[in-house]
Amino acid sequence: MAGGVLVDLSRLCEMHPRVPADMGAMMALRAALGLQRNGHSPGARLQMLIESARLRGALAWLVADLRALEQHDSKRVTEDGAEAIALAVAHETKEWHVVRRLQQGESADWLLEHRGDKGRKLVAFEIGGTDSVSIARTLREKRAQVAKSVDVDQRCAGVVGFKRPQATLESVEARTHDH
Amino acid sequence: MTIETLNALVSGAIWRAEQLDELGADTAASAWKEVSQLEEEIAKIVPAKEAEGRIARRGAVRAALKANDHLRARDLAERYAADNGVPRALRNELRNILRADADELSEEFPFVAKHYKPNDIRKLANRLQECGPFNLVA
Repeated sequence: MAGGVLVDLSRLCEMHPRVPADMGAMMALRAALGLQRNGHSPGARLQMLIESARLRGALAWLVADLRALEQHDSKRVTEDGAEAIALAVAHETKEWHVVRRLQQGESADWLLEHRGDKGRKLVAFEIGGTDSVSIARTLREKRAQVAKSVDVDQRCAGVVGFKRPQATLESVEARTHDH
Repeated sequence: MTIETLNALVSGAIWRAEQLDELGADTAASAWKEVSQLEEEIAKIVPAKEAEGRIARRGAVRAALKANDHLRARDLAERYAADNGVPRALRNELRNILRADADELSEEFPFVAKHYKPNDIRKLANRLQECGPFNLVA
């Protein structure tokens, strides 16, 4: 693919070494199943909206056997698949790395870090996935949720659409006072 | 164990516990117990003045509640709240986590909640769990 970002899901654990290998492999498999059940194949175009910048890219993944879909909960295919894609996009476009998964109640799915000139910044990352064409509603929900996250320097909502592969990452202002 | 290893382990443990929870599996409680123990290990390494230390302390209490180990949740919350230099916000958050759990109990059992305080019910349940029904009568 010329002039775009290649988001290779088979490299998820290389991008995020703190994601356990079995977990990363399962998330990438579910992303593959989610994409393929929507009629996509490796090399599919990925529309990205990172903050307000539109980026074009392509998705690469190891082809999955769609018969395996029966073994997976449909909601999990969407959720874990979206997380795999959003984490890969966050790495490729923002150079963020996973620190750890967060429990429900922390208002985000993952704690990420960004190491820059100003030191280490912690990012709360809340991710949603949808098989609908429009991601607007899911994005609203995720934005509202991550806004409540505490103890981080930055909050970000990420939504992945499987119908027409797209990934949106938006920073969100806090709705609570930090420590 | 290093913080890197513990972070990887707790990520996997949370992910597994969430899935077992969604399936309604009997083993979900023990999976959450494992999460609580890993969060506690992180809390031993990372002080409460650091963001990740606070996340781990809340996580240890939350996961203990999900494991239905209310006694452990209360003990951890009390211990973390009593730590030297613990931020007031964390102390409030820990109290709120326990309070939300008590509210949930009251909603689930409105009749019992009319006559007993959630803490008393928990104490009774813990005694029943620890000593068995005969000691409860004594």
